[in-house]
Amino acid sequence: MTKHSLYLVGALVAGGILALMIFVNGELARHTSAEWSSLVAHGIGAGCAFVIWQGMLRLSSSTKRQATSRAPWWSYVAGIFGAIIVILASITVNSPIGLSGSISLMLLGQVLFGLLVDYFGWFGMPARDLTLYDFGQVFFIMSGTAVLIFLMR
Amino acid sequence: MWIPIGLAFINGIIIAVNRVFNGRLAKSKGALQASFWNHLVGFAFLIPICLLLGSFAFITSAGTLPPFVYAGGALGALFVALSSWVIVRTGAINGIILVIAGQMIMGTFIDSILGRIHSITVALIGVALILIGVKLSQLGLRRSNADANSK
Repeated sequence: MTKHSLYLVGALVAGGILALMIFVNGELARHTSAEWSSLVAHGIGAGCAFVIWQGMLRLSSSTKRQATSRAPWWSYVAGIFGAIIVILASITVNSPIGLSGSISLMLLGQVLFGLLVDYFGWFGMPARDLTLYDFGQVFFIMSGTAVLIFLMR
Repeated sequence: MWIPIGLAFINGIIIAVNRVFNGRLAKSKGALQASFWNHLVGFAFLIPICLLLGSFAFITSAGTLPPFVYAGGALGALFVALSSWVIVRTGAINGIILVIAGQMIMGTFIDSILGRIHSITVALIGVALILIGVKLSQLGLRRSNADANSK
């Protein structure tokens, strides 16, 4: 296997891990509750992330050399969004739309919101006009999502 | 049916906003440290919510559930480490479509194991349509980058 194809497989596997994570958190929520599932996942996740971070600091020279700087206080708010994301995902995977329907709708929400951000230049992004590619992207993702949700169940 | 559809869609918007905030944190601290703070802040935020809702009562269920339900936190941390390693090597544009493809394929696979999908062929058509959409946005990005470079 060439090095490049190793990275491609790595990206595919990363996506698979993400789907598996949403499913596993949903299973914990099905037996308990969505907010408890999110709490447990974040507690264990904080421990695992700490071990990986500290481990890479010692083992990987590129992580060691990475310069860090002060981050604005509001960037730490990301964790609160993360907590809400796990709660909502745990609710929707256990609903009739299932895992594949949840994943595709979350993607659609990201894409449409991303295009609004681009068009209006929110968050300090340079505003840009939407192109035919953007509309094509929305059309195909919406059609695929509709197929997964309405034709499958 | 429409309530979970709305919730999952809104969740996508929150994911997009989250990426802006977390991206800023990762720029200063690196992806791995940002992932740690992300989890810790989320954990702290959820403690009063679980206290308020009485969710700590579920602590008694810990021994009775299948152990795999506790793997979510580890999988999340693993995802951040693996994707930050891969994306810098494949480039963000190439990496993201593969991450989405892996996610869609695994999602459909799990749904089909659970018997929640009636026809795997129709499901794959849905996945293929979504991936065509993501690919189109890449082509658009490449073009606008090429335009910007030629100016």
